[in-house]
Amino acid sequence: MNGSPANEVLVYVQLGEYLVSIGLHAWQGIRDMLNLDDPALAARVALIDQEIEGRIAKAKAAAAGDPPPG
Amino acid sequence: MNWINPTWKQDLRRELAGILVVLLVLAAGACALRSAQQTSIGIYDLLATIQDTEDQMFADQLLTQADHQAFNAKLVIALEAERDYNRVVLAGGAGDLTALRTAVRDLAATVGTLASLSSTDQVRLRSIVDMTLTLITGATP
Repeated sequence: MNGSPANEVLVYVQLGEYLVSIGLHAWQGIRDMLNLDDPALAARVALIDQEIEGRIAKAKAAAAGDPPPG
Repeated sequence: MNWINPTWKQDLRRELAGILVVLLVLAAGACALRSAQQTSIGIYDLLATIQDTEDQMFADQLLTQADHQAFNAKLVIALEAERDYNRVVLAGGAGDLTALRTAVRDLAATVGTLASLSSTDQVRLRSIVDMTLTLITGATP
């Protein structure tokens, strides 16, 4: 390690690898800390997308003066 | 660390400062996403409550057919805005709340125009709409 261009490149490549590794671990750590991968929460948010279409259809029918289904 | 080129130490400090900034941005992004997901669930639950309450009031003949239709026309807008917001949250981005905020404000205004509602029921429905608006804006309307 005497500061030759080749060594300089190698050190920067290694530093880059460390930075990426630290970044990925930190991102996962933040996700874990905030419980972002909570399957119950993700499922609930996904379910709303399905449920809300039914509610929109119901409100549209009511707005048009149609009787409620069933 | 004498083997390191002196300028590298400076570069290293700069890189570490960069990492810190990136971590802060990641943390802020994760917090915003988490908050948006929970807000979306809360808004949906309240809009669903508004719809059920209004349906019950119509069934109890507290609302005229015209009021019922006018209110549901506004409710469609609020529900569609919430659906769009929910989809943006699902995609992991930051949702634009402007349409949703406007839709719920319109809904709140419509409650006030439902002349056939008793004052008690108007307060009841209004309070649910206000709760929804509070959840979206973080402030009372």
